[in-house]
Amino acid sequence: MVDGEFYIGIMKISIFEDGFAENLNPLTLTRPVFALRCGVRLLYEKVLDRYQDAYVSLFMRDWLAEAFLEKTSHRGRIRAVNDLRWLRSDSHLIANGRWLFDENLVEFEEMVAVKDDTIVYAYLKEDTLNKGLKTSENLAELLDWAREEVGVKRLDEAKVINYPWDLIVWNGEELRREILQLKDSLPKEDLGGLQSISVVGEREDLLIAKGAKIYPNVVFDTSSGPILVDEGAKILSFSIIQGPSYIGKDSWIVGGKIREGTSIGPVCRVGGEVEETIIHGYTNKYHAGFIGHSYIGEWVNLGALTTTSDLKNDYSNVEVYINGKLINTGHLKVGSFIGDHTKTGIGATFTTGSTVGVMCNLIPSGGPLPKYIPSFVWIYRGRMSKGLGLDPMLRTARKVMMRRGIEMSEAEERLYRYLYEKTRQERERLIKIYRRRGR
Amino acid sequence: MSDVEERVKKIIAQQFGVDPGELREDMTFAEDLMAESIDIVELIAALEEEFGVEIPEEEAQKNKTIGEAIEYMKKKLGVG
Repeated sequence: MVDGEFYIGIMKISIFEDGFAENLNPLTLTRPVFALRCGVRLLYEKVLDRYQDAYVSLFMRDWLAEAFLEKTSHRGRIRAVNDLRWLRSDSHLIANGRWLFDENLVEFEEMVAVKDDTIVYAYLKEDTLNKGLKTSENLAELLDWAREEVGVKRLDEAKVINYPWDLIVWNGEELRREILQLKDSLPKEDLGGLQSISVVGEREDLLIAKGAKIYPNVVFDTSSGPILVDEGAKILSFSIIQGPSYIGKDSWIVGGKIREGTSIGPVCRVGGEVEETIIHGYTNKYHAGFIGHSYIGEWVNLGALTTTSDLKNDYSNVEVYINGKLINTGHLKVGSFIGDHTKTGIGATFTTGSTVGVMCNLIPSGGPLPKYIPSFVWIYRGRMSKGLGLDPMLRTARKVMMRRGIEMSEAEERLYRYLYEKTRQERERLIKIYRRRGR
Repeated sequence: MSDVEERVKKIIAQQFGVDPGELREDMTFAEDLMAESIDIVELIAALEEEFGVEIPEEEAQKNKTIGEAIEYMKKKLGVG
């Protein structure tokens, strides 16, 4: 492929997780950091879509690789995983998986681009790579070596995801950018053929993909940004969707308000009120209840009236537990971060800046749930426990997935068994703390 | 252990359902006891009642560890 005047030949790209990927737990317990959503697409899809002919290799935590490779729809393009040997031939663009990719910042000149102390991307030639590989045991060592060897370029304008709330903060802007980018290539419905939809704002900022179905009496408000309703999506009557927003493939909006800055991945069922939130995919939030400034994982089921607080009553900055430490987000509005396969009962409420692990079963009993809930716990009658253990949780997860025609693979099951052990110590410590306090 | 230290630890232990003997001065309210802001408000009220003093929330917020809370109360009461 030819890319500008600098690149001729087959391009090679590597996308990597660095040591900060786990700052995005619980969302990155079950996927590499570059497979998180921001805007329309997942972080790594933005890079792959830009360089469509490039060969791709990925570097991620070992225990995620098998399940991730099974799930990715880009499997055919991925030539290598966690294999430094892949870097021996040709020049490479090596991009940090936490970078919210911006093609305008890429230069094909040999260098390491950094923001603060984080490597955003490196462009390295074959000779340099081979020299560095002689003394490097892993990619982090190679990139550190390259910083000294080829020099650094500061890229202060790059957006690097450090914490889960960064995805939310940048989601609206990213939606505007991506929808504009996808506008011309997407096969669209002729809006004239749709019955009684109302558009507030510019009609050309409303993109309905071929095969999406819009019921009568739906309001689209594009006055603050564009809206993309993807293939096979269904918007039921009496829904209002404000831009910028994205409704993913085969997702249904079943009435209610989808407010600005919201991304809904594929095969979700969403009702009630959702604002500045990312729902990763395959998740149900069918009924009334408010979700704001939150990131909800995959295969989550939020019972009716489940609600997240995203603003403290004293209007102070929200703090969030990240790997056991309470971090000041510096933001007034931060909701909840909920891991895959977690289920809430009717009326569940989450306090501002809550973190909920994977595969939890949360039955509320009046007050808000604890601000930090470790993975694989039950909360019932206000008491946290390990419930019936992992096997019944996996059985439920299989049933949930089968309802959408997807079978949990052996690799995914191995991933959850691994995570159950990885999170055991934290879970046991917190169950002890909360139970003593009568929670 | 001074009288103030013992009484502060007793109140913290009651609030968080732990044995006073388990409390170490380097333990943090947020990370080791998983205290949320509302728990801190209740702890302040309990300490005010125990010692008969007023504790402004802005001052209380600065005390991240049990040791800092004990030192704060000692200073507040003019002891130790």
